[in-house]
Amino acid sequence: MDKPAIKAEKLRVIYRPSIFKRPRVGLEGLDLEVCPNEVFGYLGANGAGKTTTIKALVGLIDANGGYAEILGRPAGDARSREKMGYAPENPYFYEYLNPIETLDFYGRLFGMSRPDRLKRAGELLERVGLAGARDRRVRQFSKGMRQRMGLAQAMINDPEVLILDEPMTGLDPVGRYEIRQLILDLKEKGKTIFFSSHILADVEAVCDRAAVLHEARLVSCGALSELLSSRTVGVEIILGNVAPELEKRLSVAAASARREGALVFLSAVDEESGGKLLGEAVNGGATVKRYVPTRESLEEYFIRIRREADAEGNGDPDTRPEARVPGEAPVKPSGGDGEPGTANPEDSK
Amino acid sequence: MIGRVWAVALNTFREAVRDRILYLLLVVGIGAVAFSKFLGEISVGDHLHVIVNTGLTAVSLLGVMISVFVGTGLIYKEIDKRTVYTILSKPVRRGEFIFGKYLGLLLTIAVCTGLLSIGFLVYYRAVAGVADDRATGLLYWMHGGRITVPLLAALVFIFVEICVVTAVAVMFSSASTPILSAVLTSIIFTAGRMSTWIPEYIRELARRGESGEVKSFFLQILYYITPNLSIMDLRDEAVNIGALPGDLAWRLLYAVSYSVVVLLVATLVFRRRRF
Repeated sequence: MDKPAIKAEKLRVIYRPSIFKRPRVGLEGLDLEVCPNEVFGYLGANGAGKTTTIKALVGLIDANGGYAEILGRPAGDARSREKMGYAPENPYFYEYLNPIETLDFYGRLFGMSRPDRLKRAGELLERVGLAGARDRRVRQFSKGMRQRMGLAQAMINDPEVLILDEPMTGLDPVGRYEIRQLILDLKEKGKTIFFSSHILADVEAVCDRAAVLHEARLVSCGALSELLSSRTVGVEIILGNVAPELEKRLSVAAASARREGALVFLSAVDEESGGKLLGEAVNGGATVKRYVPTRESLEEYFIRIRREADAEGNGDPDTRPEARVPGEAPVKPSGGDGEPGTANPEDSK
Repeated sequence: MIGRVWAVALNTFREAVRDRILYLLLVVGIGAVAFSKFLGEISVGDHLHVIVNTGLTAVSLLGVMISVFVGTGLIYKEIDKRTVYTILSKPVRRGEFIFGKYLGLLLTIAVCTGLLSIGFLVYYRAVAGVADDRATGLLYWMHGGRITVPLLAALVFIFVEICVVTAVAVMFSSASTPILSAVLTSIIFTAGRMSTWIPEYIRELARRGESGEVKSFFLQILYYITPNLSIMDLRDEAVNIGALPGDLAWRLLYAVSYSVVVLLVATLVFRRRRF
């Protein structure tokens, strides 16, 4: 395997909201490698630690333990961000600037020349579908437009690695489709894309590999094809030439059965019972029109993984074991929608 | 590095000049300069002295108010509005961000106090005095006070003082809320202005024989950590057209050094912050 574009080893983040509150685990022992030119989906429920991971990778928070790197440079080192782009969830911009001025500002931070900045800004606005809004101030933008703007600023330096936090949030179906296409285009151009999402259909549509995070811990990671093909959740069989007597027998053995004209539709709960049904049908003289094992969908996989993790004792926040910070009182895994940060101004209000 | 600092500074300037509070403060400053003539007229003695004093105070007040009202929310706003996410995820070091924000605000203050200073000097030179009945034409309007070197030096050092106060405001803003930062900056500003009185007060305590050892200790700490802003106040020299102190270069060096140290502390605090 090539040198990973993104790497995390035993990455750990602890949040200490204040001295009066107990510290909480934001991320626990994350091991992760994202290969170059890979589209990597990062899944998890709200509060699972997706944004925490991303913030640790892009240098917005320091990890309390472990190590992370981007393109071989330690995360947090300013140089690691030279070939990286990051779009936060619900991005915010300077309200009084228009999109060109905004992108011009971000271009300056990379030391780009003025002609390059303006050329790139125009191209990016075209690419994210904001070309028609180039003279409007960002304060007039809708949530979806801000999201697109977030993607545009993340690409200003033509990065090799793009880290996107919930890039589809706030977008309508057309917008989501366009962003998916954009991600696939970037992959075509050899870029690495790491994005978090809880919209599983989006992940399924564009990702090569995915990881599932549950309550600050990585519970699963692998190629989507491997993750999903490893488990068949049912079989659908379509038969023709089924004698009434055979149909009766098959209906009893199948999970469900129905007739539509000359065809009989059967379903079985797994491949084993599906195979038995198929054997009986063939022996009984029926013609097999179709035999389709149904794979587990990403949604089903995600829910199963979470249930399995819960069953191992991490599910109920009141009963799951608390992580420990060395030398300190037990630390509770973080939960809830927001990522609790020590410096979050909301906390100090 | 300089490019990134300048990018942040320029953006801060653009942001600040669109802030309505700036114009409100500028109007207050202009009002204070205009009011100086009235104060001069009702005062006993040379009314030009009063006008110089009031005008310089107005320029200083404008700078300090922008520093406190805008400076103390400078970093906090970036965090609160999350604009900091897209900046610090670029190859911008936190120190570069702090220095950029500081320079951007200084640029804003320089423009505002510069405009008010020019307005004040024109006003002082042209119409602050009493019209001479014999003067005609342009001379009719040129009957104000003389623009002297001490007066210009006083204006420059007002800006130097503001540089120090702004650094303090940015430092508090990197660690605290705007309200708390404004209170703390105001305290530091007031203590800094009274800085030269502190040793005298300590001596006075000792002379009176009051048991003020703890008090003296804390006063000494206050004396050493607060900027000595009183050495940047050249209003007496400007009003009385006296000779300028010989150590102006040292005073300038002190102000620059103090500001740099405060900004380094701000950077250290900001580097520890999580977003």
